[in-house]
Amino acid sequence: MGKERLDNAAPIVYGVKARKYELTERDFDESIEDPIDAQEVFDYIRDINDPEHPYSLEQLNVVQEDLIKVYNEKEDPWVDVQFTPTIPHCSMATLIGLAIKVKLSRSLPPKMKTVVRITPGSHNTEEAINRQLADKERVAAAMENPNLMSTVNQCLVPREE
Amino acid sequence: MAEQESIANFVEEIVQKSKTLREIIEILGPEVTSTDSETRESALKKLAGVISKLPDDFLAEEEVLLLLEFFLSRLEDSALSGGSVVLGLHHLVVHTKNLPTDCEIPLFQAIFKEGTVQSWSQKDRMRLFELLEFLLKKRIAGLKTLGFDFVLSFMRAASGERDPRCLVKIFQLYLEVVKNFDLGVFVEDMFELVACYFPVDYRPETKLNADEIVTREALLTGLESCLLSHQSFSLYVFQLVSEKILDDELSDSTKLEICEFLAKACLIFKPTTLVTYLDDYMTAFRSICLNPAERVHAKEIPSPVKNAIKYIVHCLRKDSENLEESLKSIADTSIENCEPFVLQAEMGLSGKALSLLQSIAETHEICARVILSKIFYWLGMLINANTVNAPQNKEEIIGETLPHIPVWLKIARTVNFAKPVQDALPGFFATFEGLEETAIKVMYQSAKELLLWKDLPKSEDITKFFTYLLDHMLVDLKENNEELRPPVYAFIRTYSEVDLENYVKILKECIGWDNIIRWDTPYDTNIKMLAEICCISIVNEESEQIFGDMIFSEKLVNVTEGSVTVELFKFNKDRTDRTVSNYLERWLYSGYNHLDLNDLGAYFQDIGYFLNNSLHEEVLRKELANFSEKFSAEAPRSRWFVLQCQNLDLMMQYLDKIMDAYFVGENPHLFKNHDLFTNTICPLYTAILNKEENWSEILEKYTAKLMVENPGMTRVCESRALFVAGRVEGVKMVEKLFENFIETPDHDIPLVADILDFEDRKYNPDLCKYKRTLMWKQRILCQFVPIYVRFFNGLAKDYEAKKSAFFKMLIQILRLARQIPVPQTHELLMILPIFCEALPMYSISQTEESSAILELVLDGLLELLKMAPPEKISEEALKIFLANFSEILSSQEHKIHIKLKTLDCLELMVKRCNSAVLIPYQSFTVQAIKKVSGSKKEVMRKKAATVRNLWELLKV
Repeated sequence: MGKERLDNAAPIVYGVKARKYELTERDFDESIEDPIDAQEVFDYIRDINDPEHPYSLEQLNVVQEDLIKVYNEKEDPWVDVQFTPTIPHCSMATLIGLAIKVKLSRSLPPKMKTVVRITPGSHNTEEAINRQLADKERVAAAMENPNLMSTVNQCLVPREE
Repeated sequence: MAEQESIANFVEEIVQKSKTLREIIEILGPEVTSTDSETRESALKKLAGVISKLPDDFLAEEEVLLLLEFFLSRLEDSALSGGSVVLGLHHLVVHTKNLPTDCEIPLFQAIFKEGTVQSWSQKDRMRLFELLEFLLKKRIAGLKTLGFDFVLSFMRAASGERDPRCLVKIFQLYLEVVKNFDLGVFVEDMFELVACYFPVDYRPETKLNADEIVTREALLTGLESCLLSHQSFSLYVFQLVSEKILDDELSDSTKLEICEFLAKACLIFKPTTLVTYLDDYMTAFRSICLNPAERVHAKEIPSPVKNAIKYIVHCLRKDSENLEESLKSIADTSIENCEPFVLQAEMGLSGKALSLLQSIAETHEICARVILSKIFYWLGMLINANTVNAPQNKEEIIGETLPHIPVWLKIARTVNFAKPVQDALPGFFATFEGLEETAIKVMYQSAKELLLWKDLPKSEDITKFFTYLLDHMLVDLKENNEELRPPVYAFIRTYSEVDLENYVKILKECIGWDNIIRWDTPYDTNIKMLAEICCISIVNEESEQIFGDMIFSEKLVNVTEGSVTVELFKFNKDRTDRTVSNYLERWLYSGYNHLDLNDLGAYFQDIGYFLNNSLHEEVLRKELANFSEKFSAEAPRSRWFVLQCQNLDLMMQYLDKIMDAYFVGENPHLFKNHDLFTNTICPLYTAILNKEENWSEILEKYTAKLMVENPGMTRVCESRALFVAGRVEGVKMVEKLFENFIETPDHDIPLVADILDFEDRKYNPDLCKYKRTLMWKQRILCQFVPIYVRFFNGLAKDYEAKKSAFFKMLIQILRLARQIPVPQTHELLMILPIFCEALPMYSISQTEESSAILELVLDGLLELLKMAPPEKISEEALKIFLANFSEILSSQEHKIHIKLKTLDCLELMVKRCNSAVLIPYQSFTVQAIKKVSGSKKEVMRKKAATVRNLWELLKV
């Protein structure tokens, strides 16, 4: 059996942002609070593997730091992450959205909520996918599905350094 | 059992002469002649058993002959039932001392000519081959009379053997046969007998016992020796290699193995038959090296191919008549076939194709000249990216090509073929200018090659190129670009060595030496850089004269970095002239005033490391002579230099003087400088004790005095000195050290672990040139850990203060373990239980001291998790670790560093341990990590996110 046809056989590969942060004394000073910002959230999701290609979501420009908004409200903090499928009819968009959602749930503080949605105008069935990703019960049900989670987990396997 | 008993009884009766062997055979007679084959076999087994238990010289020649005849007559009968006959024959031939003369021919004929060896079981075949081995060693003369008959029978016996154990034996026999028998018309058949096993396709069966396993290497070596055992095999060998190396079904790694074999064959055989297959081999090399799918050897070509090419040319040299023609043909076909790979750079194989050509060019001048006539033109095209279609690829291709330029310049220099280089250089220089920073490293390397090329006329272009680089070098050194430093240094040194006059002249122009007197503080970096250049330029006596004068001139004196001075001594360490001593003299006189006492001591020691013994001693004598009568309390500059001395008298004189200054005085307590004791007296005492054969005399002389001053430190010094030297007393002293430590009050500073600190330059065995045993680090660890564990286990359960001192030692032990290339599994596992005890003691307690110990314990655990084989860490230990990690992460009190280290441990665990072992603890651990993912520090949240994700992925 040959490999199924790829949605986007030749995606454009983009350069990645430098990631060497020099840690200073301040980073370890517990009297200073580091609020969560877009860069930190981007760091959590930039390395997610694309389900189709041997590239990360950052390399394919599916996730970008500019498309992340963080609302550090005291009572109800939340993060808004938009992602851009490589082509408007990408059938992997829901899976990618789910992978981002799962990775954020494993990374952010437990009480922080996440909204993961498609960048407006970048996908044919944007509304339907956004609805699915916003539906807590459907997301929870998806996370209970071992086959689906196995695919999501493949996307979350860290790359060899 | 009954059988064994009856055998034992028979043996006893025969040995005590109550029965003769004949009588025993008579007793067994009815069984031996029974119509039931099992009964017959059982009787033979008993008889063979009896014979094998008799003393070697018990049987007389006639008896042995009789038994041999008897067993041979039963040979076919026994083949189907059990093989006891073989056991009997094997024992009679191999072990009995009175083997009848002239028995070898009937034996050989019955077993190997008339019998079918391959129908026996593996064990019996092995015995039969051992029997043959014995005959070949002891009765070769008789066997030789058989001539071709022997060869034929041997081939029949060995043919079709599949068992690796028997094969190894056959390969040994094969060598004997080839050595002792004329193969005649059977040459090809003999070759085919073993050629069918090539290339070796065998993986050892792991279910066998370790001593039964035949390694692949043993089989391969045996087979290769057979294939190369006779000159008349040469045609078949080269043919076999050509057939196999072009076989598409064989993997690349197997083909590399064939290349290695080819290299060996070329060493042994004459080139006559090799020439026929040259084209095939070159095609095969190209297909191996220029395989686009193989990314492992991205830049270099595999060394077996390099070797094969080298030895092919070596073989061709044996035939001087046809040498030139063959080499030209190799070079021409390679040039022709590699051209598209080199020039169509976008295929990504230029680098490999150039490396392949390089390997060919390096083998012989004739090849080099043919290839060089093309290569520089190609390199010119590549670095200008003339052949590249997509502009995006240009940069990458230029980057890939540049490093090849100095390599080819070196080849051209070696064969002194200037023409193509002279044609290409102007183009190269123009391109270099355009590329600037990308090419700078290659420019230095190229310049070095051009400088070394004495016969190359130095055109104006070349001189300009050198001047440009000298000018550029000033910027590169000032920018502290560590990658560029080695090529810059190599360029400076070469220039200074081959053309000192011009070098000095141009350098002085570039730096504006005449104006240097006006340089002021803002130019400090310039001055330091200039001092560095001068220092690096010293490569012989002449350059030392000139640059020494510059360095010790008013403006530059005392600005040279100590590390650069050390570099000078390192480079010139093997020079036998006065360069080093002249410079050292000047340096000691006036070159170090800008360094503080500690740095000076350190650099002096580093310099001392590169001096030969006589110069080292000479310097030390001068240092000693300069000590004033009443030596002040300040430490001398040579205090660590002296540690490297090999002249013990000098060292002791030195120690005496320092001790006098330290201990003798009008009011010793008032003037005592403890730094002098800790950093000078103790290290010197240790070094002397370590190097002196009569160490006990030294101990006797000094110990009492030093003990009064600081007993703990003195004992540590003594233990360390003898422990490193590998003396038995060293181990005893370490044990004593532990005893003393346990007996002394809690507030005593625990120094025991200090003996494992070999990083400190005062006690570094290499730097101080201690007497040490081979693999001393490994030995010390293996000796220290059991003592450490024994004393720890002997501590009372509630003796917390002492235990904490033991825990602190863990990190020292593990740091030493990390420096040993072979994993010290046994020792690491010995200290694992100590971690299991340490963690619970500190994971809850949060005093400042306990936190410090916990941090050390976690550091140690991290090291342990990195090195110990994960499958050897017990589940019980893992459980304890995980429970305590959870405790640490849940605690509000523990500092961020401790929690981060805990997360590091969890990360290592999940990466290294078997997931099946960890899965039961997955949810528990994830819950624990969740507790820190809400941390207010980003660094902690990020670490927790990474580790948690890894734990969540466990089922994947």
